[in-house]
Amino acid sequence: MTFDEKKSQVDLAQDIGLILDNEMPPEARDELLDRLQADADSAELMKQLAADQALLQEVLPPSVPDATIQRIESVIEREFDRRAPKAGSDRHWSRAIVYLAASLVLVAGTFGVTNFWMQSRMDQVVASLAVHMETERLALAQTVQEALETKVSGEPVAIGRDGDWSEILTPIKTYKSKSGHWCRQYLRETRFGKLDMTIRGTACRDENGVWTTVFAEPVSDNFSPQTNGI
Amino acid sequence: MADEPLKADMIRLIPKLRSFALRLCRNPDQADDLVQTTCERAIRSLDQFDPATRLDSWMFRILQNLYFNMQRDTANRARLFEKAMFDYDDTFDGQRAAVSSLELQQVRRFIEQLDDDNRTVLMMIAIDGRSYKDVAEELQVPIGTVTSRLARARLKLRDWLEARKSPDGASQSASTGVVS
Repeated sequence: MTFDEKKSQVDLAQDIGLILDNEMPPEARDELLDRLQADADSAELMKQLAADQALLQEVLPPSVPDATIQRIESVIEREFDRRAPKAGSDRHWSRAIVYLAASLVLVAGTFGVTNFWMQSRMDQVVASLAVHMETERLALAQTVQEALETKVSGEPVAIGRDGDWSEILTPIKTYKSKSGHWCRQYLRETRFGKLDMTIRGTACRDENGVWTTVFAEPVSDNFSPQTNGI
Repeated sequence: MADEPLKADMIRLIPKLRSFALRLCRNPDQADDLVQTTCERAIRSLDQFDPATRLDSWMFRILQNLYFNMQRDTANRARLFEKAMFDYDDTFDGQRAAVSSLELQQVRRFIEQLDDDNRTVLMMIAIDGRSYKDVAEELQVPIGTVTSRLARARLKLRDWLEARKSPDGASQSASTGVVS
């Protein structure tokens, strides 16, 4: 081989090296690749040098920093562990346990929320009922006071009515006590639908004109466990 | 476990994958990331791997596709796919597979016999995948010197391999690694 032939051979090997070693921008690489592949000898040498490069890597493994090797090895270990089928039956068990736990959490959560909701709802109902009862009580007390103060004996006075509920007070006897207070006996009949209850009581009037019940007893009642609606 | 041999093969492939990645990226950190992603991707899609084919070719292809897909320029990406690197080309796999361990040993001995300058650039660039610029800086020589040393080393190896193929050239002096 002449000196010129040898030089052109080295130049060609350098060009091929630029391709194999990715030492060119993509456009320039493409142009060079096309030029080399257009010539049969160049194309053949390129193919051979590429194969030699692969052979070289078989012969001597590339040197890679230890840290890189360790890092990639740990990734490989981790990924293989992840896909390991050891889970087989264990996985089913663990999955079942997870599902069970999730169900329990769901049930407990639902119960807790419902309980909380019910509790708060009950609190609201009880509170409004208490307000209602207190209002009723005050209104009733006022009506009873007026009935005892103004109504003649034997005249029934409706002192309260709300839907199925009604209450009638009938003063039945008026007298003056030994202590000098005016007192009146009365019957108080309470009806709630088909139920009724009668109380006989005695109320006396103090110096300020306020009637206070000093005695009361049930006269008859239809409240019984057998009654519908109880 | 059935995966164990594959895992071992994959671990053995790390240096070659890293070399290829470095040649593609020209950046050691990026090359490491690329190899890591390649391994993750390969293991997660191991069901698609045909054990009758070469693991290295399959992984090289995954690595190269990942790298190409990282390219923002879509036109450039398409061209890259069209004119892929040679490293994993199946046409070379057959030749590689045919190389016996004895031949590998002989090639190793030949490389050891190369003069230091040529051997160093051959190993740093053709094997490790480092860039000319990187090697030139480390050796403190011009890039032109690196490229010519590399070309000469490649041609010496080619002559030596060629001589071994032809029966009458098997005992040529090229086996000493000294090429004029």
